Order: sequence, then C-alpha cells, then structure tokens
Amino acid sequence: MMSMTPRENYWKVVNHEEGQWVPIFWGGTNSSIVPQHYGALCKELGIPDYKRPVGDFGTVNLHPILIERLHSDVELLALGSPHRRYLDGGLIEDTMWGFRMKEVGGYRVFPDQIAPLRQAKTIEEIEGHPIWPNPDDPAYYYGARERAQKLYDTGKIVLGEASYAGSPFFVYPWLRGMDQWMIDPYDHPDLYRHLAQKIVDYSAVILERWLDEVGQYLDVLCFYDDIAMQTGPMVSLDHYRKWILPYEKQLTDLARRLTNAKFSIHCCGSCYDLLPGFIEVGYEILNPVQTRAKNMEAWRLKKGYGDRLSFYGGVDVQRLLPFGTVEEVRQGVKDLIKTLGPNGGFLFATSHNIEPDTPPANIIAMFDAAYEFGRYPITNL
Amino acid sequence: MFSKIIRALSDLDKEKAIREIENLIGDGVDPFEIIQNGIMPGMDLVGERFETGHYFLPDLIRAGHIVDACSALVKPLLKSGRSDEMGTIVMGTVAGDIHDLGKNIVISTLESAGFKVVDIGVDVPVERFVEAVRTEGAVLLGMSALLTVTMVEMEKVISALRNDSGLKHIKVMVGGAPLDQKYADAIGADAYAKDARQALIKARELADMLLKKNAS
Repeated sequence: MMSMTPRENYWKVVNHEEGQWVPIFWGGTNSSIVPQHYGALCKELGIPDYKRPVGDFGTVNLHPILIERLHSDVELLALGSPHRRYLDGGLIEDTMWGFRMKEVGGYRVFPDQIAPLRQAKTIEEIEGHPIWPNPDDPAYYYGARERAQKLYDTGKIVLGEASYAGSPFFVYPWLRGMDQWMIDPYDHPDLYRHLAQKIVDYSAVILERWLDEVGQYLDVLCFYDDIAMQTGPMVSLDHYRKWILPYEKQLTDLARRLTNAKFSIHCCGSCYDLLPGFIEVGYEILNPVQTRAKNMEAWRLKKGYGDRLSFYGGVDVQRLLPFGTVEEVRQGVKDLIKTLGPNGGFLFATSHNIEPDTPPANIIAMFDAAYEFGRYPITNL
Repeated sequence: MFSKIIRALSDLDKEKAIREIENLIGDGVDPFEIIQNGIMPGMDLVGERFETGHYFLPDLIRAGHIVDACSALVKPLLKSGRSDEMGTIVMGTVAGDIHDLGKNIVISTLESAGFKVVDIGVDVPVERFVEAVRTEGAVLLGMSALLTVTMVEMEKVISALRNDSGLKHIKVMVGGAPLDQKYADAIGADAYAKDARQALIKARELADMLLKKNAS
C-alpha cells in the first residue's frame, strides 16, 4: 500500500531520493500518443466514448479512464491556445505566431517552404509580419487558476506545459524555416537577435501572466527545444551557448520567480553533448530521453548527469515498443528502471509520442510493467 | 594549386572561396578540374569534420551555400556534356514526408561533384518518382525519408521501377534517419548512405558500375 500521494512521491524522486515508486508520466504533449493512434488504444481498453484526440504532436486530452488504467501519476495543465485558421490548400495557420502547418500522413508538419518569414532579409521585414501574439487574449488564461487548483487537489503531479510561450526555438524555425534558423546567426546576425528577442519578449509576457495564475500549483513546468538528431546535436555546445541559451534563460529566470516547479526541457535525439548548456539554463528534467539515439543510453545519462538531471522518458518508441514482443517490452521496462531508478531521478515515460505502428497490447504491457517493477527499493529486478 | 580553395571551403570562408575560384578561372584552369580537385576535396573535408563531430548542421548548410556560389561561377564554363557524362540523378522525399534538409545537403554535394541532379521535392508519390526517372533519363534515383511510417514508401517505388521493363535497371539509393543498411537491403535498394559524404561515394560507385557496364 502506497502511503504517499503521487505529488509527495514525485518531489522525493525529482530531488534525487528514492520515493515509494517510480512516477509514471503519461499525459503530456510529448511522451504521449500521436492522435491518429489514440482511437486504437481506447478501443483496446474498451473505452468507446472517447473524444476526438487533440494535439499538434501527442494527444493532450487523454480519457480519464486511460490515465487511471495506465497508472499515470500526472495531470496535464497546458497554457491555453488561440484558435487555428484553416486556409486553402490544406494549410492550418496558427493565430498566435502566424506560422503554418500542414497535415501530412496524419501528422502536423511545418514545411520550411511555407515559413512566413523565410524570405525576410531585414528587421523591417520581420516587423512587417502581420501576426504576433496578443497577450490580452483570454484564450491563454481562461479558467487556468480554477483548473490548476482542481488538479492540485487530486494529489497528482501537475504537469504544466508552457506550450508556444515556452518554445522560442520551435517558433523561430517555424517562422523562418529550419535551415534559415541555423544559418541566420552567421548570415544575418542582427536579424537573428531581433527575431529571437521578439519571440522571447512576447513569450515572457504571456508566461508571466499565466504563471501568476497557476505557478503555485505546478510541480513540473515544460519548455521545449529540439536541437538534436539521431546521431548528434544539430548545433555545437558553443553555438547553443551563444545563440540559444541567452534567450531560453530569460524565460527560465522569469519562471523561477513565479513557481517552485521543476523545469523540464524537451529535446529529442542525441543531446548528450548539450546537457551542460541545458543545466546552465536552469533545466532540471530532460524529456523525452531518446535512448536509441547516439550517446543517449540510459547508463551513460545516469552516470554522467544522474545527480543533476531527472530523466522523463526513455522507453524506446522507435524499435522496442512498435516491433518488440510483449515479453521484450516488459524486459526493456525492467532494464530501464534498474538503470535509471536507483537514487531517484527517473520519471517513467516513452522516448517520444507513441507511433501508429505500435500494438496497443505493447503499450498496456509497458505501463503495467512500470507499475509492477517500479517499486522502491529497486532490488532483485 | 588547389590548396587555397580547399582551405577556404573547408573553413567555410565564403568570400575567400569565391575569390579563389575567380583566380583559378582567371588562370585558365579547366573548370572540371576546379570542381574535381578544388571544390570536391573541400567538401570532403567538411563532410569529414561533420562525421567526426567538429562541424554541425549549420556548418553543412553554410558549406552548401558556399559550394552553390562557387559552382555558379564554374558550371557555365563546363563544356556541355561534361556533367551528363556523370549521369542524371533524380532525388526526392517520399510521400507523406516533407523533410528535405538532409536531401538538400546531399543534392548540393552531388551537384558539386558534377552530377546533374533533378530535385522533385518532398511528399512525392510513387508515380511521380517513376515518371521523373523516365522523363529525365536518370541512371540513379535517390530517395529520402525521415519517419519510420513513411520509409515504407521506398519499397513501393523500388517495386514500381523493378516491374517496369524500361526502368528496372535504374539504380536506387536511399537514406534518412530511420534507415540502415539492413533495411535498404530488405527493400531491394542498390545502396544506402547515412550522410551526404557517403551518398557521394555510393553515387560514384553506382555511376562507375553503370559506365563500365555500358563500356563492356
């Protein structure tokens, strides 16, 4: 029998102590399940009345039965978002920043070719972009405090997602194109500084107002940054420190004044070499811990950074979960808990959103195994 | 003669690289030699530095831009037919997938080595690949995919080519983050390349193979 609440247990674990169990994180915008596969999982678990899944990446409106059945310790509290506009040619326009998405194969993608500021060469052209966030839009904050308090009162871990006010370097490449984002510091440094700062300035105002409402209730606050590939970081640690860190740190410094939550950074891929930079920004939790990527093995992370970072993720969604047997999945979960669990610092989740080629039976087996094996003290596994 | 251009390119010094190319052209150096012995080894060094973790994606993209600028000076001077001798390559990202950063880097690398590359873009359906290979008279087809759920499209394209008596000899090269040699073998691709440098090596091998075959 567990005597701690999920929150009490989480705070021990995230402070690198052994709690009563390894917290199970299922229900964020990452380390969730892609919307196009959500129905299959609901059907497998006999949940016929599920709502249409919502989310640009992972499903954010998981059915409460699903959260309960798969032993999740978290409840999601995401920053509200303004509506989306559907344009001709299958394009979807974000009304917060004015970037454009397209649905391809069930995924929302952000083609460089249609990034609205792709051709800009001057600061004037950046300023001419017609859509910037309106911090007074109530959509960001509507009902946030009440919902936060309600979630807090459940005793579960409140997982705050700063969404598009916590992801300046998602927004930059979506406005400029990925390749331009990478070379702007060299080809157009003034433009880069101007646009990055502008994104941060707007983000900061919204983040501050939202955290004024919900900050005291949050246990985790998620920021996002995708700057790594399967084989290594996209940019060097020097580039990160010079061109990315100063902007991200403005947001974490601001948030630090308004919440005691631990800060999580989402960065897919092989980001091992960037971890010193992440720590300098003030991030304390790494997500989604893509253990199949280069240098991202669980043992390496634990050995190198286990005392400074907690790991939120880790179960391989590229091979193990889609292609493994139920038995292999259980073994994989056991191995991961054995490696990352001791001395706390492990928040059990998948290494990204679960993909459509994953058998629902494997998903259920994974969470059941985490529930079964993730009991402290972790011995004899 | 080529050490300066190689150095400028591999150090990502655009202005210097362009100046060196202009000097070489001014000195009457054969433009094909400039590509072969100047631009290519420079790009090889960039690729090496990327593979060994000294260069990163921004560096590769910058190198691509520098090569484009250099090639723009040299290419008009190439005797016609020179790049045709190397053969035409059709390149695209498969249906359902819009990732093209890697593909574009591969294209600039292949072009700078003298290949004629026809880029048919992203989210390319099977029929479009087949049609492009036919109309361009390509000897090689390159396909890219970044998602496990889209890489299966490659097999469909390969089988469409193999089932076409006029196109079954076309060599197919595949690449992209979720792929490996094993997968490439399983779907019947002729080559797998994990990065731009490998893509060039493999493309040269396949092109040589075809040239020898034609010669015999």
